[in-house]
Formats: sequence, C-alpha cells, structure tokens
Amino acid sequence: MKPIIKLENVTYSYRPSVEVLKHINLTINPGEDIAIIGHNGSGKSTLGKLIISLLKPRSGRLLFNGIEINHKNDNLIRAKTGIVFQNPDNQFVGVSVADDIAFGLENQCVPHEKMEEIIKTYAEKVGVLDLLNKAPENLSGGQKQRVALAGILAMLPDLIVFDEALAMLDPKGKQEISELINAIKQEHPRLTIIRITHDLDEAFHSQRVIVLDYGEIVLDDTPAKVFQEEATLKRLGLKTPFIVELNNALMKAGLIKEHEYQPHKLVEKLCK
Amino acid sequence: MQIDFQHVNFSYNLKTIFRVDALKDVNLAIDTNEVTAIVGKTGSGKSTLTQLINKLLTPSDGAVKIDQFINTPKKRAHRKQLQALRSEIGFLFQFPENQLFADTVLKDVEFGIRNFHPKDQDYEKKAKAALKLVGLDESFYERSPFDLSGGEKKRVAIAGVLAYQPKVLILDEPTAGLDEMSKRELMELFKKIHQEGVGIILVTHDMDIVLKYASKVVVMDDGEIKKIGSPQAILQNEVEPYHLATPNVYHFAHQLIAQGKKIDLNRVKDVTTLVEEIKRHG
Ligand SMILES: Nc1ncnc2c1ncn2[C@@H]1O[C@H](COP(=O)(O)OP(=O)(O)OP(=O)(O)O)[C@@H](O)[C@H]1O
Ligand SMILES: Nc1ncnc2c1ncn2[C@@H]1O[C@H](COP(=O)(O)OP(=O)(O)OP(=O)(O)O)[C@@H](O)[C@H]1O
Ligand SMILES: [Mg+2]
Ligand SMILES: [Mg+2]
Repeated sequence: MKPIIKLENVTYSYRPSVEVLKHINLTINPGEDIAIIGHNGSGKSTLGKLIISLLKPRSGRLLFNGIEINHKNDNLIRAKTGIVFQNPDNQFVGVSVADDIAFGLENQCVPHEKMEEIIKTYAEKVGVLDLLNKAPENLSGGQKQRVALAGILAMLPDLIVFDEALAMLDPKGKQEISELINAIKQEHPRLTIIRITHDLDEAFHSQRVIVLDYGEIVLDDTPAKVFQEEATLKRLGLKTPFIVELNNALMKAGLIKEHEYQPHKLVEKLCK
Repeated sequence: MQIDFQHVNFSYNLKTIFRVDALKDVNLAIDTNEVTAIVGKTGSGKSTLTQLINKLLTPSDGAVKIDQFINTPKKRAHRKQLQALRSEIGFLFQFPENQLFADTVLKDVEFGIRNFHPKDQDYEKKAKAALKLVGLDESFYERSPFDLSGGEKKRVAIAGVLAYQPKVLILDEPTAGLDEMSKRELMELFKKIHQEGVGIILVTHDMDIVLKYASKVVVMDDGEIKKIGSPQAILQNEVEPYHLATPNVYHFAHQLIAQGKKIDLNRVKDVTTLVEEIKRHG
C-alpha cells in the first residue's frame, strides 16, 4: 500500500534557532486512525499542520501519495485534507453557520443544488441543524466546535486532523461525536484520521498512538503497548489511564498482588 | 462573598428576530466559601450565567447581587463601581484568545495589576510570580501571547487572572487544552488558593474534577437551573438526561457494589479515597 503521508527527516521552527520539531520521520497509510498525544507545547498542533502542508518543513520533505509537496503543488494536498483547529474561531469564514459549512464544499466545486442537502445532512449529524442561520461567533463554545466539525466532515476529505476538536463538548456530546466519526470511518474505510488529544481514553480507542516530547517522537505503537510504558508517560507529564492508576493504588495498599487491567476481572478479584 | 441571582432572565439580541433566551428565571445563591461547579450540556447557558457575575453582561430582567453591587438593567453602574467589581471578580474566558491582547506575555499578565491597582509598584514581580505558578519560565516573558501553543495560551490567561489577586475566580473550562499533569497541578493550585480564602466558581465538563474539587454543583439545561446539590448527590443519580457522565471512580465502585461489596460512595472522591474505602471494608 502506498502511504498517504510520508514525512522524511522533517524539522520545523517558528523562530530562528528554536526547533519545535526535530527530525521527524513518519509514515501514515490510508485508513489509519492515529492519536497524537504529548504535553503542552510538545509540537502536536505543529505536526498536524505540517502533515496537511499548512506549514512547510524548514528541512526534510513531505510526500503526499508519493508526490513531494512544495509551494507550487500544495493545492494537491489542500483539496484532499482537512483540519479542525484547536480554537474553532480560527476555522470560521462565513457570516452564518450554513455559509461556513458551504465554504469548504464550494472549494470542492460541489454543485449548488446538491450543496443544501449536504449542509443539512451534516448539520443534523453533528446536531446544529437549528443553528444554521446563526453567526458562528454568536455560539456557545461547544456549539462552535460542532459547527467546525460539520464543515470538515461534510467535505469528506481523504485525511482529517482533529486538533482537540472535542475538548469543549459535554460528556454525552463527546461520545456522540466520537461515534459519528467512527461511523463515517466505517463507511469510508480509506479515510485517514489523526486525533490530537489530551483525552487519553480517546487515544486509547485509536489504532496507533504517537507520543511527542519536545518536538520528538518518543513512542509510536498500538495503544496497548504505549500505555504500558507507564514510567515514560509519567516522565512526560501524561497521566496513565484510570484503570492503570487504580491498579497501582491497589497494589500499593496491598489489596492485589498482580495487575489486572480488565475492569470486570479486577472487580471479581476484589470481591473474592 | 455572597452572590444572588434573583429572577434573572437574559436574552441575546433581545429586540431582534435573532433573539435567544439564554437564561430563564434563574434563582441561585452562591456562597463563595464553597467551590461551586456549574455543569450542563452544550449551549445550556453556563458561560452566559457566569458573565453576569462581573457584569460582562447585564440581565434583560431581574438582578444579580454581588456583595454590595447590583447588576440589573434598572440601574446604571458607574465606571468606578464597575472597575471595583471587576478587580474583585477575576474572569477566565473559555477560549484564551478572547482574553489575551498585549504584545508580550509579561505585559499581558501585568495588565490586570496595573489596571486595577495602579499604585502597586510590584506589578512586574507579581506577574512573574503568577507565570511561575502556571509553569511558564522567563523564556516566555518577551514572546507574543498569540504565538504560543493552545495550552501555553491558556496558562498565560490563567496567570493574568491570578496576578491581580481577585477575591473570586470565575473559571470557564480552566482545564480544557491542558495536559494531564498541568491539569492536576492547576486544580491543586486553585484548591490551595481557595483554602486561603479566594472564592472559586468553575464551569467544566470534567466530572472527575467536579467530584474531587467542588462542594456544590449547579446543573443547567436550556437556560434553566435543573438541580443544585453536593457533587455526591448529583453524580450518584442519573446523569444522562443532563449530558453529564458518571465519574470513573463511581463507575468502578458501582460494579463493586453490584457484586455485593460494601462501599460508601459519599466517602469516594478519587482513586485514593476509593482504595481507602475498599480497604475499610476488608
Ligand atoms: N505561532 C507560533 N510562533 C512561535 N512559536 C510557536 C507558535 N506556535 C507554537 N509555537 C511554539 O512551538 C512549540 C510547539 O507548539 P504546538 O502548538 O505545536 O504544541 P502542542 O503540542 O500543540 O501544545 P498544546 O497541547 O498546548 O496545544 C511550543 O513551544 C510553542 O510555544
Ligand atoms: N453572543 C451571542 N449571541 C447570540 N447568542 C449567543 C451568544 N452567545 C451565546 N449564545 C447562545 O446562548 C445560549 C447559551 O450559550 P452559552 O455560551 O451560555 O452556553 P454554555 O452552557 O456555556 O455552552 P458550552 O458548554 O457549549 O460552552 C446558546 O444557545 C448560544 O447559542
Ligand atoms: Mg496544540
Ligand atoms: Mg460556554
């Protein structure tokens, strides 16, 4: 399979002499569902923007479907990828929610008669159907995030970067939107998903977890393997998932002798 | 400090076709000796409610009493009163970009002190101390607050509120965008500040935080207050209708109880107290 994204020895700096990404090598195949985690300022958003060529490497190169991307041909990747920004205000271009969702579709040259239907479908999917005529800046935090999501999902690009795109949603909304993304992914198995997140449960449910630390990839593996690296995660300022933390506390209190990460088995053990 | 909402209605764009009734007959008494958490689904009115407390918004009807100050459409506030109110009630916006404005991080954090306490000559020292509290070192002082990562911006915004030492902190989603370690450190910091006498009003979707840190929970839905109670009372009951979640420790404790284990949920706040409670019952 040809990778959809390949970063070769990529380095990035915003300011001279401060490298915020260092020698990144990364291969992403079509259809992968990847989580990127790491402490504040570790370079997650920067990496997300480099992957879709919103930022250009200072050195090294980016290949999209095998083609090297530069300033002249970056429309190739622009048309096929999308990002939901960390702050949805950075996303909005339209005067109304409907306009805003339409914007991406217009760029894709979707015919007008089809557009209305697509807008309605996706507004309904993310639960903002009743907000279509409102100005995006007059929405609540969670409503803004939903609108930003609708705009990108409606375009159905080949690759989407979600940069903490669920952070302001209520718990139920978070679950609903996660399920929606999973459903869209099921329908379009080649859709590549990159979730930048501080929510380790969300990361736990992806297929591959990349851990950044001061601009370097320090772990890149399945969630099961990554979350076993307790010492490393702790050193990086990342919490261990709840069940791991509970195990540790139970061990320390002498209530169990061995780790048991399956909740129902742990319950059984404790109830004996 | 005592904060009283009395029959408060609030509508955005009141006299237009875009009118949104964001708060409907809200009655609420907040005693800032308690840590109050305001929770509820997207668009339920949490941010609107908190913005009435330092008069970023004025009720369409009714009144909010904040100690001596009254926020009501019937009475215009003088600039001086407003300034006094805002120096006492620190406000952290949901998105830090709405808060930051200066050309350097240090100036941004100094602003509140210089604005509210113009006679205070120690502003630089205090701003630096506040930045240290949120984990930002001197390499950040001269940087633009806009050219930072999401979590770094959030910390600058938090430092900016802490710096002028308000009596009450209103924190709208203070931990969103922070990594796990900072989340914990900052919540512990707020707890400590509260113990030193500063009121904390918290808007959050994180139920683990609500259980661990709040003493009173206000549940909102569609512009109305639906429930008020202790975190235990609110989170041990059905949370689904209000789009909340059961905290992890409760979720696990429920499974133990279902298997016949004795657990007093009122003693459980986090992993440590859960383990203590398991141990207590042998
Ligand atoms: N526009 C910018 N100009 C200069 N430096 C920047 C800019 N944006 C980010 N940085 C710096 O680059 C580094 C990486 O930032 P990035 O936004 O990629 O981090 P992140 O992992 O997304 O963090 P967070 O979890 O806080 O969002 C940080 O040290 C940050 O200060
Ligand atoms: N500036 C505004 N103009 C018009 N309507 C607004 C404005 N700000 C908020 N609203 C509307 O008022 C209602 C309450 O919004 P509010 O921001 O208080 O919700 P919230 O509970 O803070 O939600 P979230 O958890 O998503 O941040 C929503 O229906 C929202 O669309
Ligand atoms: Mg980021
Ligand atoms: Mg809000």
